[in-house]
Amino acid sequence: MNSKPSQAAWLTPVLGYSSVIVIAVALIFTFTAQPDVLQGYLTRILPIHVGASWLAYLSFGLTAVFGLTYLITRNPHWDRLSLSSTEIGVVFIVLSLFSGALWGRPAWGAYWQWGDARLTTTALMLLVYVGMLMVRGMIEDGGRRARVSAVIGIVASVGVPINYMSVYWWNTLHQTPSLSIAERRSALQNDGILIGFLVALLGFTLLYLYLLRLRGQLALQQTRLEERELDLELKGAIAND
Amino acid sequence: MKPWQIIFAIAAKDWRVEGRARDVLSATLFFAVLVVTILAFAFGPEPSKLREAAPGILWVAIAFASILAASRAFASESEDGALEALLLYPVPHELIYLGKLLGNLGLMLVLALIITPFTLTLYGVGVAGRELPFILTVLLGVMGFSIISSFQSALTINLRSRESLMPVLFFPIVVPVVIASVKATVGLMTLDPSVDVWGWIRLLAGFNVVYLVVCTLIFPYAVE
Repeated sequence: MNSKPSQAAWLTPVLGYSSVIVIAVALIFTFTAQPDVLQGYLTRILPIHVGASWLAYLSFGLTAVFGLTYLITRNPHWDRLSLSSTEIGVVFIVLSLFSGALWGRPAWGAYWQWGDARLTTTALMLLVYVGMLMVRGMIEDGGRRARVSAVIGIVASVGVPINYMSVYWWNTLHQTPSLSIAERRSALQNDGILIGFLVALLGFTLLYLYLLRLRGQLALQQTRLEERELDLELKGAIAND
Repeated sequence: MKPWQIIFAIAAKDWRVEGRARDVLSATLFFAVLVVTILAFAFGPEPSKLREAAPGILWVAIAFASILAASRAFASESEDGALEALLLYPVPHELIYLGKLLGNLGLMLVLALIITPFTLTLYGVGVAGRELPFILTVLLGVMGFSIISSFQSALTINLRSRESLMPVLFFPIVVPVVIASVKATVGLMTLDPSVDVWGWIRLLAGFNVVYLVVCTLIFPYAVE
């Protein structure tokens, strides 16, 4: 079997616990910070919303990278990682939309705004990746499934930069990033919120790595189970002859 | 053969098949006319409402027709191992994609040439004096649909549930094309100064360039 055995079994729980601790620290900073002058208590959702969105971008970007690596190496290991990454991305893009809607209701007066470019492109990304998972479910042959979903994952990843840039290009309702190194600009007013924000990004990255390992291992177990069942069936068929 | 000759030869093959069977055009044209007519009933008889809905209806009809045309074009390749023979040609697979794309685009432009005046007349709207940007919008919009639909029908050609897979993959990706084409068309029809027509046309052009490059480069993997 050309799949990597989990060479570091201790790493997965360490990643899991540390992500919980780091996100908890981020929330403590956020919730003890002074309320924002403009948004008041609404900024408290920022680490979760931005963290989830960042995690979704990361997952979908890496889905394409894993897909491309699969196409080059043809090692099913990368297909399993690509699948895991897509599933994680779908979960967290839903969380991002949900937390954004909760914030949008008091800030914009509506849970959802069809006119906003960031919101609509995010909803489209969700649809594309859910479609990709549906396609996976419809193809039975493993090699073909891996190849087709790798190709879709690469084509779909074009949406990630479009989604990120949409707030600059269309200038609709959603604000531009709260923190921009390229523009040397921060809309985060005090240190508590800023630290909470940065720590949350780290925490969500750890959470991604944890979930990726966990889901990848599960996918590996599933593959092994399927192969084993096939073996047993074959042996049964031979024994019956 | 030079690359453009290869592309043109593959497209010409598709056009020749279409010229003899008229399989794709007749089905998609009928379908598009049906969409335009049914939506007129759905929006009611009030002329002002229909005029408002016309750009959206036109582009929905073209989008639906495009997906139908692409799956038909590749369905004919899947018969009698035609696709395998096509892929055996000693040419880069990227050029085969571009040839199939050109073939599909040609048919879709014929369709647009018929369905667009039909819709404009039926809904009582016009673009008098702004024909050139309108033609450019239709050209770029149809091309955007063709790039994605040709690519995806090649990707899903041998799958059992192809018919249901195509729309699932196609529509979320082409929504930007639908939005940009509709916005540009609205701007050209109503002369509403708040609509940045050239901005939307630029978006269409950008979409086409990006997806054309990505789809061309990744196509060899899609048809293995």
